[in-house]
Amino acid sequence: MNAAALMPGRTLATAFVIWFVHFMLCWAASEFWAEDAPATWLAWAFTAAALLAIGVHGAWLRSLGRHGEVDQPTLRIARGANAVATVAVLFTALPSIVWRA
Amino acid sequence: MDRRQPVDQAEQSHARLPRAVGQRVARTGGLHGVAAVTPSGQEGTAAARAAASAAAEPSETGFDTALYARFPTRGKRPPGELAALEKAWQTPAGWRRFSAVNNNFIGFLFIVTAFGFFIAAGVLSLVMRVQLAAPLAGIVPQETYNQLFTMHGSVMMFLFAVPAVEAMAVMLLPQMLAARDLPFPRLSAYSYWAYAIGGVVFFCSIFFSLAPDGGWFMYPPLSDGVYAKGINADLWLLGIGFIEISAIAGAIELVVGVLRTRAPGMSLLKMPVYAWAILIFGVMILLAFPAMIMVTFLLELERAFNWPLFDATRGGDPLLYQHLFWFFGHPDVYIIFIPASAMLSTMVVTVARKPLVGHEIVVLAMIATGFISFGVWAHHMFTVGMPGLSAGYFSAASMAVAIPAGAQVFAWIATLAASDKLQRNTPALFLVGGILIFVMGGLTGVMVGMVAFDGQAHDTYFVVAHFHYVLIGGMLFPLFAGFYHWTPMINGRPLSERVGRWVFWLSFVGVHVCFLPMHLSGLMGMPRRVDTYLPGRLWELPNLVSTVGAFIMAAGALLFLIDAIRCYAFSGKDGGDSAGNVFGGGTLEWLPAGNYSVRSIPVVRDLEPLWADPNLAADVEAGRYFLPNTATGARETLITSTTKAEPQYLQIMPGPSWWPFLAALFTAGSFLLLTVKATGLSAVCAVLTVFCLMRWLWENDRHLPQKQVDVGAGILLPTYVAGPQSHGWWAAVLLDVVLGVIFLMAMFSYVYLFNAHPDWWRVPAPAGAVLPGGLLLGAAAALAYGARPVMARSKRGSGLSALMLLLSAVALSAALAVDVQAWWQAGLRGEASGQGASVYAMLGWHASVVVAVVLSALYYVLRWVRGLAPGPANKTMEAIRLLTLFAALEAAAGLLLPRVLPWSFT
Repeated sequence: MNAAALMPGRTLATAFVIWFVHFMLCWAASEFWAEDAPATWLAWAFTAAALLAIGVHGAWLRSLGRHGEVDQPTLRIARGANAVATVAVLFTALPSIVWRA
Repeated sequence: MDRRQPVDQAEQSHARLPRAVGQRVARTGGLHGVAAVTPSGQEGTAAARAAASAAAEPSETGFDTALYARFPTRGKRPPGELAALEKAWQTPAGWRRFSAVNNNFIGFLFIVTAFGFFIAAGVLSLVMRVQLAAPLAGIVPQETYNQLFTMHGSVMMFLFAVPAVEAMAVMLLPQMLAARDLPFPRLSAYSYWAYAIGGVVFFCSIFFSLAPDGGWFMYPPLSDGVYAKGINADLWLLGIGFIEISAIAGAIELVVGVLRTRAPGMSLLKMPVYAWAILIFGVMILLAFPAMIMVTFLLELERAFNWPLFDATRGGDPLLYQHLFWFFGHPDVYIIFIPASAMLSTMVVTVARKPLVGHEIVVLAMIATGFISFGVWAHHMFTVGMPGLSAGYFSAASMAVAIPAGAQVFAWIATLAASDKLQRNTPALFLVGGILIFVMGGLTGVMVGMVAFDGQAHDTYFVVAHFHYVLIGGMLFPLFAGFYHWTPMINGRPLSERVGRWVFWLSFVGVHVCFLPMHLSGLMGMPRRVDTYLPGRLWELPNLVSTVGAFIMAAGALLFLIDAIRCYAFSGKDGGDSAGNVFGGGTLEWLPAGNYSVRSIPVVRDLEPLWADPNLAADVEAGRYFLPNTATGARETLITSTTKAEPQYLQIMPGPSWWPFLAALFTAGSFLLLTVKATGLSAVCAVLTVFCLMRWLWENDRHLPQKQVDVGAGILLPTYVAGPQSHGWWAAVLLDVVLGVIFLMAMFSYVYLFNAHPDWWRVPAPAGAVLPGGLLLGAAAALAYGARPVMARSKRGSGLSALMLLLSAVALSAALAVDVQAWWQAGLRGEASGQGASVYAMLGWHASVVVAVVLSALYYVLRWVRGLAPGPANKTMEAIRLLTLFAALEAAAGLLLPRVLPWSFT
């Protein structure tokens, strides 16, 4: 099994994995520091990190596209996944902005 | 993952794929002296152009895709070739039929059984509706009513919904991928028999007042040893746990099937939406169902040994149960919905006679739905008092998941709207009706996703209405559409169109008459799970109307049943000889097929290959594509690469066998006898199960004298591959993933309870076990890791590797014993606190994995003694090696976690 064989799976799943990790970290923080400020600050920190990770992933996708390492349809879906994950990360973070204990 | 080529890993000459595949046989005159290879002068044809285009892309495996231009071949196939194929794939007759493993036989049984459970659970719901038709009715006593709603929910979710979509996949997928069968036919058979035997015994418990009565989720403390005495809850726990194992076995089969048995050329993006859905469905089962296995394991531990995992007075927490249950439970809804939605996507294309609008968006939407569904579980727990911020996160995710689901709905509507020649038939009615009902259920889902609204509607009939709309629109109607759509494929002739319309309208009207008033009764405050209500609360009329609706739906189901019996009982097709493509479908399941699936495996160049190439069916049937015969005289299929579906090797498939059936029978016996505390008999059944499993596997993994065979048009493929190229390796990895997620859930339980009740963490962790335990685990991992290179490089590698695996299992066992003894000597007791219960639960689960490793190692040694473990590599060794490495990793995590959190030692 070479790296190229795993590439489509990786490109399609990475953005959503970033969202899932972000979601679980935000939730874990809210459970550990229920109704306390650290839960909110950590959520913002996790959100910044997640957006950065999605940005890096987007740049990697662009690089793959330039070098023709992944076919265009896969790349289109991967970019779509990146966009959906970005919105999902921001949407997940929304309660930490509006919620006041 | 080891990405080296198999030849480098195994040092096995015939594993040299890129050089072995794609070579033409020396004889150029034609195949078997009769068939001619398409000459190179065919570049002007569409096939040749497509092949040239494929060849321009870099290969995934080294296979020369220009070879696709050789298909379709010309000339007649040798006489007797088809007869040999039919003989190899013949289904046993008479009572031996129960030993059959073909997907079309097992899949059909699966569907029939699942539908039987649907009818049975539906009858239970009718009794409930009669009871609720009027206030203070006394049709059934309260205890029976509690059993009825528990069994209705449990049977519908565990014995109908998931198995039905899995059954459709077992039936459809190989045909849709043009594979001869699923990659592990005996695993399919085991999965089915385990489900059927366990399910029937579980369902029959209601006739003996032994059915569980704590709701389909069985929350503690209602289900713990204090409030649920007797064996009813145990029957649920062990029965459901057993059925989960069946679902996971099926999921492994399907995931490997989608990834490794697609027709050549069917790259991921030329793969039907349905196959995508089954891939996502399978992966979701592998990630979600382990939580259910762990939670049933924990509750059974609490009930059997009084370990307070969910008892808040001793450091446990009932909310832990809810988290684990819903981590499985909510994705389960999407596990049901995603394949059903893909059935809709497939049928919409046929009904509209147009390609699916936004195919890529639909694929993306399904992936997004699959992921986001893992972030919504706690919206079932909004009213338990979790932190407000947590509730906010789950509320946000619950609303977000509606977006990809909505994208699919828009794609279906757009496809139908784009059509100028819509088919107006029963499948079309069911799919349009299903979309409408699903959208209505989805909208109320967004409502209950809001924390404030859910606080009002929680545990009322509003929620009952919501999830019935979602499941009926998102799964039941697509399934019925599928029955009407694919019956001609299975049976050679369709169900009655006229009766079908009656079935549709009765079902459609019945759904609304039954469930629409429940929104109202719920908003008026009627709680769920009550066996009766007082008069004068204005609940009488909506309840009466709902009961009438339930009977209208039941009339539809009955009519369908009669028509189905009529259609299938007088089938003119035995095993299948004609696809009966009456609706003009474009995907490969509509190719003419028999027990062997398609006569030859086509090269796929489009999403709807039958539309793109009108001659495809005739060419496939004439044997002009891959594998037109049985190259070795046995059952075979092509294994292709994961992304571009390039041919890699020929899989020799196992034939009919009694062992899967017997293994399932004894597994069921072992589980169910435990419920009546017959531990001795249960142990005997467990031993017999292990024997049957080993006997079943004993016949697999054989090297053939023919190292390479001609799979058509002179293309040679190997007949045996071990390591990451092998489909068996993928299944072994998936099994380890499942075991890993189960253990992650055990670790989560430990962390959750520590966070909830740190005051109960009173026994400092024994640090003395870390060094000896760590050393033993290191040795176990090193021995298992070294088994492969030793086998490949040493003259006596075969025996040495068997010895190394055995020693590795011994080291793992010793490490476990060291850890358990250290905790015991430190004074930790399972029944004393949440700490003790969660630590010993982790170790207990790990012990079961260690037992599996020890048995596997002994089995491998036995194979070596009988000369069935040849070097330089074999698949059995690879699978056991992976399991042992995983077990070492798991043990290390179990050793470290309770010593790191909390950070206190003795």
